[in-house]
Amino acid sequence: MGEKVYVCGDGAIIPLSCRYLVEMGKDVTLISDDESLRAEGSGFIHGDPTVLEDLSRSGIEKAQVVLVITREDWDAAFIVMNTRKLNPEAVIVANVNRERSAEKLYSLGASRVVFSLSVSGHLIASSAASPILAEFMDRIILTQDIEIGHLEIGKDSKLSGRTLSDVNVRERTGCWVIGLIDDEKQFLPNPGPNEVIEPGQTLICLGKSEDLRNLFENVRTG
Amino acid sequence: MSIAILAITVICSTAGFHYIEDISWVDSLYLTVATITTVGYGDVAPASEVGRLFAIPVIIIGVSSALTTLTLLFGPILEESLRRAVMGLTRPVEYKDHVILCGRGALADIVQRELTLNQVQLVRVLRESDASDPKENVVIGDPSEESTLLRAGIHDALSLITLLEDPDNAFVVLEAKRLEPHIRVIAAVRDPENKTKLEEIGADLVIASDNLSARLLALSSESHFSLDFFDAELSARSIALSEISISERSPAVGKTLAELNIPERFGVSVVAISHDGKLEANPDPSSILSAGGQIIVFGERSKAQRLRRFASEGRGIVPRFAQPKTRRERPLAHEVRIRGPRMATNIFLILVIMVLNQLISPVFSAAGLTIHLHKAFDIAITMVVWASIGYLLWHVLRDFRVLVDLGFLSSMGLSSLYETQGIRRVVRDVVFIVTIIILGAVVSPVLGSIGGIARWVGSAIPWICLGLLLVILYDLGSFFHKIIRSVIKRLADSFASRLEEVE
Repeated sequence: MGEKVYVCGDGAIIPLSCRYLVEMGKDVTLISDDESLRAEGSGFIHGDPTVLEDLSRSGIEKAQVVLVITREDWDAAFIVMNTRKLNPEAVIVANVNRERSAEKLYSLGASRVVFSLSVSGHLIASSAASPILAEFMDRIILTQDIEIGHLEIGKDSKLSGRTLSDVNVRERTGCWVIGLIDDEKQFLPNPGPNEVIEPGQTLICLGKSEDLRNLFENVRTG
Repeated sequence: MSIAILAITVICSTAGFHYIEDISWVDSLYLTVATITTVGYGDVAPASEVGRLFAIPVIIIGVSSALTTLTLLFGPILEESLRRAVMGLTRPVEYKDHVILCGRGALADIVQRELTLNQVQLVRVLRESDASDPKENVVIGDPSEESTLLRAGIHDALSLITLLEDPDNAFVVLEAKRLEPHIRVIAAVRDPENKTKLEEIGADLVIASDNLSARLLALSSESHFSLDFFDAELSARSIALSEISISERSPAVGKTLAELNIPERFGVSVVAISHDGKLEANPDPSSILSAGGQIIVFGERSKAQRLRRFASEGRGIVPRFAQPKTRRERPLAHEVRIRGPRMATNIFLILVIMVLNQLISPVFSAAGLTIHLHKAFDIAITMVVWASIGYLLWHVLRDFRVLVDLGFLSSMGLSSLYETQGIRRVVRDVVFIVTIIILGAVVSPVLGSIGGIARWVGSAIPWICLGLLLVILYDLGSFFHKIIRSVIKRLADSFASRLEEVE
């Protein structure tokens, strides 16, 4: 079985999200008080995820990833807060309906906050003004033959201390480092071959999906 | 407020006239109303000196408050009905290369913000207006109706975005494509099953927004998946993907990516290039940039904007956004089909109004009816007649101008003049003068038989020509002004870039 993913909330896009997660080979469990949101192939636990007792009863402390999708952003806030109490290690991804909720959810312990509607908006807007860019983004998000991924360099990373030409990402994996964000959050485009990789940096890589996956596997395993 | 002032004025002045002039209450009220509505029949009038002195402030306060009240009461109604009646028939000229956005809601607000950020001119179409809506660039009406889309300037729009309910979207797509087959139509649907249906009826891009959101959330569970360019943190520092078009005059044309060294010079990464409609991600450094192609870069928006200027150099202006400002060639036949009937109708209407104006009084007197029109009423009718003739004439001239541009100039092989606005306007002015002289020569014998009008036409032609001559002088002047400005700007640009190299 794949990664253990818990999905919490009452958002209308939960069934679709669960279906995608199942397709991606995840072990999906839905916690909701609305059984109609259940998708084929996913487990279901009846309960109100905003209530701490219901969450702890569901075994969420064993989850690796928790996806929070709610109709109202304050429900998401309760779920994120309670989940973080029960499971300090999990990656908590929360969907928000309003951009200004993002900061609050981050402060409550969310690992990643997604304002998913803005991606549709972005795609529509750029398609109206710059069709080529829209096609490019379409390939990133929908058909997924190109991806942009980011790689955070930890303190004990094998890559730290080496130059980009040492690592030779492009030759070895077909991926390409298009940018680098340093520990002061400054963006450096197209880092040169002599750039030294340091802990705290984030590499932004572009490549075919399978190449990118290989790259991340390699980095993780050394 | 103004209604209260008006009421107080009426009451005080009625009482005043009643006691000062010693006339009946009815006469006094009649005199007041006649005064403040500026009718002033004169059958009842203040006779004494005191009465006249009293009348002066009544006139000043009464007339102004009556006017204010009338405008307040009927202004909005009149404005709205005028807008519906007049604007529905013709299309406003102020929109060009804009994006039409139909519908409201969270998604529409995001799209609006994104487009505004990219400095794209936007026209929103809303079913009914709301107090919280912006007042500018909004068209009220049903977006699936022809008149609404015409008012939003669909013929000159770059693209149309429809974010309504699924069935309504279908009607909007159909109507937009029928009116303007070249327009790019983008729709968002709830139900993913409607995606193919909308694509079949002509939508260029259909986004199933729920589907996209779900997919994005599922992908977000992968730890390395990055949409950091949508991330609040990055977008706050405005790092994003941008599309940049390569103009044929750009110094970048024909050079390889390695030669251009865009990351070093402009501080952005090139992530994809597009040529002949093919998109190549992760391009090879030996890829050559071609005119009319696009590149996609990743980096700060302001830096991308500098590159954009470089990619379009030679124009002297920065294009408003990534899309190259190509004049969409609309075939002459298409223009004639739209403008021909409209011009004919307008000219016919002008003739009808002129003939009616001449015929009304003879017909009445022939029927034995003698009407004594009040003089002011007579003047008002004449003004309405001339105003409507002027309005119609204005539209005829506008359609005529476009047809002259398209038909005459391009058939004479002068279409290269499109490039330089100034010359084109001068040529157009000359064409106008010649046409008017010829028309005058042809028409005046015909009108001469009607009598009266011929003299008017004969004396008008030299004045019109004189006016056009002044217009030519102005156009020539602004043309040379533009040339001088662009030369100076180019000099300044090259000086600035040399300074940068020195740094």
